[in-house]
Amino acid sequence: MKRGYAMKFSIRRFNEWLIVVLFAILVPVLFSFVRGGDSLLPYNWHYIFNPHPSTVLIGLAAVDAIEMFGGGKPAGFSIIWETASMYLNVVLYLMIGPYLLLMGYRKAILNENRSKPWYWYIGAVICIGSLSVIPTELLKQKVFSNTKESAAESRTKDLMRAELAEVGFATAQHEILQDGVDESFQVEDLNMEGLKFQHEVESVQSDTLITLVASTPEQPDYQVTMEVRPYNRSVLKQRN
Amino acid sequence: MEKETKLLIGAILFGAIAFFIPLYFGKAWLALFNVLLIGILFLGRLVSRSKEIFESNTAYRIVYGLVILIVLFNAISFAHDYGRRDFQKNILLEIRKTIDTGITKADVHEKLIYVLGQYHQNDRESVVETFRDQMSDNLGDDGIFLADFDLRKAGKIDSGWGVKKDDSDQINHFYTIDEEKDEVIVRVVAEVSLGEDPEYQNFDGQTGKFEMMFTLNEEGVRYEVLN
Repeated sequence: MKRGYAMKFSIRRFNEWLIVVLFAILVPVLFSFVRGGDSLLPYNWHYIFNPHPSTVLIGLAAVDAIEMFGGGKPAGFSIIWETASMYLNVVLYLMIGPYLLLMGYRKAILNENRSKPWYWYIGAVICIGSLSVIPTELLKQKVFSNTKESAAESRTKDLMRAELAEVGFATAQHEILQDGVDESFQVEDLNMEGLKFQHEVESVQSDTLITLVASTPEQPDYQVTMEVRPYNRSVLKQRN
Repeated sequence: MEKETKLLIGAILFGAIAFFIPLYFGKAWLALFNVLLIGILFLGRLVSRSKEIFESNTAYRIVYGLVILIVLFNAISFAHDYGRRDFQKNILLEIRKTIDTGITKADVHEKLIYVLGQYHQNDRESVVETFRDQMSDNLGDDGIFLADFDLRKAGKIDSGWGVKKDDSDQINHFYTIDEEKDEVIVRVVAEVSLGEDPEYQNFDGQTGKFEMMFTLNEEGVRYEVLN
């Protein structure tokens, strides 16, 4: 008899959590359907359910950065729906959700059959939502690490192109001032100090066309080629 | 009213004050920090008061563990995002500076090298005269040096791509000629890209912007980044 009760109890508790999980899946799916253009819900309403409020600030900072990039003035932070929603996120996920869940438990222990009240289900769904901060944060760390790596690679390429242009201008000037470019010409003849990348002369076709190549051991698959025409209006031409 | 309900109402109200006052003054990170802190304190208090409602110690420990995990990841998330709050801005401004520097060198440095080449190749007597002859289209009024972008805008050179009247490259060019030294100086001041010194007084009256100076004489072309 006791064992039968325990099984029944266990199945009921399992069912309760099953309902919660079902809601936790169905509710976002339902919301994603009503997010279309004909939605009756207010604009950007979904900000309320963001379990990761600081992403709002990162997003707004990115908009400001783009504005600054284009020469405009950044708007900064003010009280708008997006920023105010961060408060609602914290209230929902760290206050109301756990409160409803625990109050639901409290109510349940007073019932003879220990059935959960309706607000326990809401609290449980909200608490499951707040747990999504864990995978989201882990994913974000990974994405940020990749972004940093990619930005560092792009920076290296930019520096390589800029440095090759320096070498190109110096080569043109070397030819103009000293008539110094012939088939034996090497980048070392320019006596340039502090070069970070490897620069080589690929070919010298008389003193009017010199082809230079820049590379770095850090990115062996990438190299930049530049044509230098000292007496041409277009002195430098980058090939890639 | 139950104590937990009072606690909830207090946390919501106190959280609103601690959030919206700094936000009103533009301190959004402080606002979020405040409300997160209040949320975490509320959560800790709520859970610690609820031990008796769980059917077993194990259930309580599981809930307690999950709460710690949520608090921990909220804190990590906030700290991580706060740490990279200027990351995109710095990247974009750096890219902008790289573009401005690249355009300037491709435009001004290249032109001056060309003038130098013409001066030496044709055995001209004056660098300044060679500059005036070769760059006549680029010499505007009041010492303004017209870059290729300005000439495209004026329709003097074909760009191959459209430049509208309102477009701006947000880079200002100026030239000065020293007849005695037979020397030309071209200064370039960016309107967007920042220089190293935020207090630096730029040639065109701006403050703290990126500035380069190119000098052309018979010894060659040299440049320096002034800010």
